[in-house]
Amino acid sequence: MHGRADSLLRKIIVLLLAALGVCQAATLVAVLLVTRHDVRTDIERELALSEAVFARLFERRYLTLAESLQVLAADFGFKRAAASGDAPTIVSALDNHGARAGAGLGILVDAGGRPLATTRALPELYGGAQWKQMLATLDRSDLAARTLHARGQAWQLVGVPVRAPERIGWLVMGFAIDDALARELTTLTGREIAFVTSDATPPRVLASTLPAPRHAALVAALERPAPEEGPRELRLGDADHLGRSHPLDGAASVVQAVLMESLSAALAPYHELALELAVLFFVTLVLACLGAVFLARGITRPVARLARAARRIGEGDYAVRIDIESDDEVGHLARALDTMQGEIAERERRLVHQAQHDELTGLPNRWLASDRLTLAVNRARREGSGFTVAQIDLSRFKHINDTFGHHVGDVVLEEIARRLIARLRSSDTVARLGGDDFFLILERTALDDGERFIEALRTTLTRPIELDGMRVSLDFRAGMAAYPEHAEDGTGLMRRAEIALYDAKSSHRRRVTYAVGRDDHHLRQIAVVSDLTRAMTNGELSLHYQPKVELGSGEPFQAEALVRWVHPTFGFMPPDEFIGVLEESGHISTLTRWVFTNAAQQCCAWRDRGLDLALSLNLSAMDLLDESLPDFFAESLARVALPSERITLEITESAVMRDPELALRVLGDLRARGFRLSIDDFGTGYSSLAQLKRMPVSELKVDKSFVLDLRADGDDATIVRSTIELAHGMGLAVTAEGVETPAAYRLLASYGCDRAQGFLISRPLPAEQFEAWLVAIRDADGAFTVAA
Amino acid sequence: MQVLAAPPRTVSACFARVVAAGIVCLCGVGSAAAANLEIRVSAAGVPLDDVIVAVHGGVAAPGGARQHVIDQVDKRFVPHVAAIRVGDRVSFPNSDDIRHHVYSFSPPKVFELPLYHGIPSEPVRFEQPGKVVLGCNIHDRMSAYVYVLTAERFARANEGIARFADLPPGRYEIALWHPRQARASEDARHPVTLGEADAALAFDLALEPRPAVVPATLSPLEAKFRALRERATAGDGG
Repeated sequence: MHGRADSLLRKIIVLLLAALGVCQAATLVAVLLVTRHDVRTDIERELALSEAVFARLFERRYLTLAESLQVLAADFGFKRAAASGDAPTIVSALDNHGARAGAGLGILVDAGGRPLATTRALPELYGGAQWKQMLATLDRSDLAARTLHARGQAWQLVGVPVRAPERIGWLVMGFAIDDALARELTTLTGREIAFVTSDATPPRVLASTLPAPRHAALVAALERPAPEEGPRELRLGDADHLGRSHPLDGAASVVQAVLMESLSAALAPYHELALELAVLFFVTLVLACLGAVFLARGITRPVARLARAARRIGEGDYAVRIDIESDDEVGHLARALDTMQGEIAERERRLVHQAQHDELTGLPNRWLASDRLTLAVNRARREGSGFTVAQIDLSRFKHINDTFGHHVGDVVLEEIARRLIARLRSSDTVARLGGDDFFLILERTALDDGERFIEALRTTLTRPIELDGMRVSLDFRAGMAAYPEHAEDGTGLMRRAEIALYDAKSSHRRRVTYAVGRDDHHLRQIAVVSDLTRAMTNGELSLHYQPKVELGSGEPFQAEALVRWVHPTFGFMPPDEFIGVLEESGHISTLTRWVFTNAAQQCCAWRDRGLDLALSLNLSAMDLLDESLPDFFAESLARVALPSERITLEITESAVMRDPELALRVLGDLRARGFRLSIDDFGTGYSSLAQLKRMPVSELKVDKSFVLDLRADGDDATIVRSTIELAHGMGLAVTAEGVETPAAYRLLASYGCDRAQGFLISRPLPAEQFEAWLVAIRDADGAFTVAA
Repeated sequence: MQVLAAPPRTVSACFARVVAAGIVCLCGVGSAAAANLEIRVSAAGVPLDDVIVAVHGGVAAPGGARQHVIDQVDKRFVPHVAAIRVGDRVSFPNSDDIRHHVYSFSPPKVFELPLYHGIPSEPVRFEQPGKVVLGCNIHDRMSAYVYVLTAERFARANEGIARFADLPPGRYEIALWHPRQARASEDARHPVTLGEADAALAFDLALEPRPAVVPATLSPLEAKFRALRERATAGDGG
């Protein structure tokens, strides 16, 4: 977040500076360019002006010379001297007049073009092409005015004819062009001047105001092609110059004058200006930079604060107010964020409350209760103290709900919650776990104090509740547990209080305190349900078979299949225990089907090996409420092609008590499909004979409690004998269970009992052992016999 | 002042050319002992004035030295061109009411008649043959040409025609003189043989070019000067 705010700051600064920089640089460049252009234009104009001045000055010299010459040429004396052909005379005349005109050179040329007399011997001049050109011009024009050069020396010459009166020759006089002349012209024109040859390559500097070392640079610059128009640029030494070439004699020129002005010198003041501008530029930039930082901080600082606030809100801290009071967008955002933070806090508080509390009563829910419990455990552990918990459950609440409706039930729950809260200390906790279950945490309360408190609570809760003129009175059961006696952690405490409550319910007591060890039993019960599926597939469950023999013939062709469970943790589990649990939890049907299927398969297997047996199985009371069971049995048998007459289904007298109509319908169905039905444990229940009469059974099994101690003179004998008679009277066969002694066996036989079952004959055996037992009987004489 | 008339631009050569362009035609007219000779002189086809035609050969006409007059009228020498025999004298009267200063620096006769009015006391005698150019020191534009000749006969052609009568048959040499003739042609002699018949000869004389051709390149001052002078001469010529 900081990084982002910084980068925004950086962006603003960079943008601002870039904009300013571009503007300033553009201004600077524009000023410099315009200045340079102006200076250059000024120099160009001055150079043009100087050239015009120079041209006039130079022409003036020609004219001066020409006038002197014409005067001399017209002088009769001079003419006479010239006509005389006497060289010394002529030279003296030339000297005389030349000095008068300021000319450094005087020549008289005869009519044939030969120099007749000269004031200076300059053979290279008189022999040159330029000289001949000049004489040709003289011959035709009567006046020649041009500047020639020879041997690095330039001469500004004027020639006129000498007539007497016919032309007898020409008079030529001239000025030397030297550095002194250049300097003089410089003072008049204001420009540096150089006289340079224009008929030779490279050009040669004949005279100039420039110091000698710069001549080479000038020559080099002149050698480059000149621009189409305007002055040419000359780099002389370390200074830039602009220069204009002026041919001294128009098209006839062999010498040119170059007028020069230093561009560098002219620009020097502007360079100072540029430097000042650059300094100004830099100072402005620094100020702008500071301004940009100030401006950007004004934006990014609140943004960074907002970012920090947003992060804090994200982490769940809603306490700090965002304190940005500005009226701009950032301020709006800050206020929006502030409002949002408040709303989030409120919503979260509500959500947490909802998550932790019961909607109806407003009491903490199971989640919060376990949280509080953990805190209580921690505190108690820290303090070395103890506390007590209780789970309570309203008696007859279901009845109220069913009778008066949920609305009334809710009112009752609310009232109970209010009373609980009223009775508890503020440090204690009461939570609603769901339904009519409440959970209490009694802080710093020893178990016996807790028990007393629960009993005191009973007077409060059992006070009648007024409901629209009705008075409802409730009681409750409580399961209690204490830290640290019953559990070291919250989860354990809660479970053990629940187990205690369970025990209270099952034992019809109003308050039970957890007994150490109860938990293991409880765990086994839970394991029965949760491990059943596994047990059915991995061989933990198995079937044992106990034979029944015909008391008359001793034929062992019936057996009862009994389920056995060897649990990997708990070892052998008594069938009464796990069947009871499964009945209660509604899983018995699963076990029944497993038993039936496996028994049928076993029966089929034995039949295939030539052992024809009839098997009996036990049905639970719950099974009789399952109308799909007859179909399932029929299909299982059909798969192994076993006739249903081979299967006897044993049921207890009380099995039909829960829903007699349905149970009798299922029994009728089973009977109709050909199953034999038998009443198990006959004599222990409360069934009426009328009931018995309605049941479509074919056998009674006398409960073993009458048989185990059967003696000829005992009450049991009377019951057994009467029962046998009753059964036979009703057309039912009778099987006696629990036959353990030969005496009992013989008595039963004498009573006319049809079959016997018990340890005397065989204990229940695994399938293989049972098969071996059976094969042994058959291989002997085919009948079970009791030793005398 | 034919010299200053508009130049015949057709003549371009810079040296003298004498061309015998005519046809010698013999006619049977005239005395049996002598013939008449007619010489026609032109320059570029235009009949030329002020041409002196000299015929060398034969016998000179009798007579001693003569006296000639070259007058000065209206700042001009009259005649502008004269031919005299060696030893002749020329008188230079001044008919103007201003003074003149006649001079000659020509080698055949260098002389000077300083400023004077009227008739100078002595005529000038010309002992050497050759061309004598006369000028006036006061008036630069005044000029005259005196050809001092040794020829037996000579005449000045008017409108390009000079006639010589009664020339006996024989061999002759003809020389032509004109102030503006090309220098190379000054001493040329044109031999001609005359019979009894009359003859006519035609010559086309090359003249010195007038300084009228503008050289390819003039310096600005030269060009200005030339323009000034041309304006002046045009005024004079008109």
